[in-house]
Amino acid sequence: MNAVPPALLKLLQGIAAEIRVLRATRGAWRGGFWGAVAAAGVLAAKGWIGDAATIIAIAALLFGALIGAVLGALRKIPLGTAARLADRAYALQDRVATALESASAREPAMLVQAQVADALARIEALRAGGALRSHVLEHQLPREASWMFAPLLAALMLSLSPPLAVGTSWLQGGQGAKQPEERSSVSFVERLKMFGAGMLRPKAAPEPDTAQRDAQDPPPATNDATEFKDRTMGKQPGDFSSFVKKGDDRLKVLERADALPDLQSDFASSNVRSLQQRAKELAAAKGTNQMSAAKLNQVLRELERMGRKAGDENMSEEMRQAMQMAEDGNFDEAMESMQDVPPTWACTRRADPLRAPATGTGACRLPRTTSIRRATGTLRSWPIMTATG
Amino acid sequence: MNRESRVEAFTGAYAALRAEIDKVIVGHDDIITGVLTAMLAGGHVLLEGAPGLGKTLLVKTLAESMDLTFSRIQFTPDLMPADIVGTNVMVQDNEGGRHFQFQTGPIFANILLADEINRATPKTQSPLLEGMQEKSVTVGGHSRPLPKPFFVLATQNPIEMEGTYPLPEAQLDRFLFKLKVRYPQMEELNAIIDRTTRTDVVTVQRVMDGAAVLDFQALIREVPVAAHVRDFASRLVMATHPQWEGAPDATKRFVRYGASPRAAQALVLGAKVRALVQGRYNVSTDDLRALAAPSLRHRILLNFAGESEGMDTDRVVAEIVASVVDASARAVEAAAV
Repeated sequence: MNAVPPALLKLLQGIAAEIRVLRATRGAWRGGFWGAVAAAGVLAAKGWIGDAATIIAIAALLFGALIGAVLGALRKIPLGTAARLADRAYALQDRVATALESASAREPAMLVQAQVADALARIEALRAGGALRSHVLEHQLPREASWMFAPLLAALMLSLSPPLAVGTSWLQGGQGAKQPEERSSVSFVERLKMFGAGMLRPKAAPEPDTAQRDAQDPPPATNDATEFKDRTMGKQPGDFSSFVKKGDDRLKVLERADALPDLQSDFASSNVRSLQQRAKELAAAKGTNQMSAAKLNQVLRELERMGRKAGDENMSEEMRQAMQMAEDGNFDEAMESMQDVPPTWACTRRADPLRAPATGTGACRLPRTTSIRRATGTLRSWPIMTATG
Repeated sequence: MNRESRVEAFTGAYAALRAEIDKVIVGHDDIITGVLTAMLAGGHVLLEGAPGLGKTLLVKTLAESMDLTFSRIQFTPDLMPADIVGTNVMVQDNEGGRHFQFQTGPIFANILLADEINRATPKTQSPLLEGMQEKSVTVGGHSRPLPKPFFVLATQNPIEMEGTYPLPEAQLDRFLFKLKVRYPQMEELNAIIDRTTRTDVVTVQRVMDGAAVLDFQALIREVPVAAHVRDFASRLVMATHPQWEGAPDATKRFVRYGASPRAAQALVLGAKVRALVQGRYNVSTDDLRALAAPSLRHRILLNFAGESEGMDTDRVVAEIVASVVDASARAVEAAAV
């Protein structure tokens, strides 16, 4: 007996077809996985590849799945394996596998024909009873299928993100290696200029106390930009790249400090504006009889307090004298003093926010000078100013 | 007689023999099946169990139900080899001449019951070894064949070990199966009481003769075995060896020596009988699984760790079977996908 009986062959071919489909499915998953990995790699390099990267990535994914499916389907399926699966699926106690081997044997034993006939009878009984299932093997996805999301997610993120930056380490010594240094250097200088000339101190001439601070090296307690600049600029290493890097880091801190709102300045300016507005309202009144003495006194008291708080003794003293004038009934002079002080004080504050208002600031123009006769008989001039910048 | 007729004759004779034994023996289905399987496979059986469980009765009933010669040897410490194999005695013929004549011992029988075999010395046990393996004994320099079929059923008591001579591994290996006779269940005990305490006399019919046994033994060897089933048997035996890389953890931890190739032969031959008894013309891995314990349990030698932890060889065999079955299933699935 050298030929496999047709009924047995038909059963085994059906199972082999199922195995082929299963292998193709699993191969497609495997190929798709590696195709997705390749697609992620292509998308990671889209800075070099260009707009075609997305198309190449999709093609890699589909090509991988297709190749995997084809290779899986084309793999040879031993009939013995199909026979063992049939035995296991239909509880045939190795009848089919034994019959397949026995039928193919050159010199079959005496019981072989009976055994093959027994196996065929069992198969026919199963077929007649409709017990032959369509699936003899549990369909399980390959391990790559459970990890498929990883390369797909990576590919998706890479497709949505901008191209990755080009590394320059491999260009060391070439022309391209100088470009980032130059760009950083220009950016550094420009940013320093933007920050303000008062904050920039030349490295060649550090202040005497800078070296002392560097020696002690205290950690900065606040976001003091000057402190940070002194510390970093005073410890420049010889390497230019590290110097540029430190400069960029310092600029980041300075930009962060610049981005913070100056609450004190806003409050002061708004307070000054408020007092200025109220002084204008008082000045707009017709005659002293239409002006509230209590309101004038209130504004003068407020200005005196503001000057005292800001450490401006001149302004504080001026307002106290104006208050005395108002009490004495000299409303016009008191009004004149009141009108002159807020614009002047606001102008000087804008010119140098860190310093108390001072007379003679060059940034404030002096269109006219108003003489104020003091109770003591001395004269002092207060400019009525207009902020220039 | 064609093949189908021989198979039908075999199954019919087996069923009849089984029915005759069941007339006398209550319960012990697995023991009876094991004994008949070993006999039809041409092997010998070691029955281990406490006294009074019906071991001797089983063997006597088997002998009565078959048209075979039967002898029994009660092994004792003073038993001599000549008491088993026989001896040459001086006889005088009719003419007055004298010559030696071989007087056969009890071993010359188709069915031999070696009762409490572990009570005899190894010197006495040795001629039985030769007979079991070679189907012949050597007396006075002459080899004398034993009658066919030759079937040894030995019993031993596992609890009275004082004054005994445990069988060496070499002798244990010559038993096809080692069957453990358990204590009967409540219902079985009631049936034993009913059968043995009345006046009814149970008579056993002879349903099989020696020629039929030999024919069946030849038929059984024709049962085909698929390659993967044969591999399964080999794996079972190899897995009893701690040196084998595929051995389970229990083997590596508790086994000193594994089974010999005789174990694989016992497995396959027994599986062939079982298949044919169940009406199958091929050996299945299920047959091998069912016969793994009686074929392997007496061929595995535990190490000190196994002995000290009270490990039983049956547990080791169970783990071996589980691991090999699992590996086989994984192998076929891996081949499929």
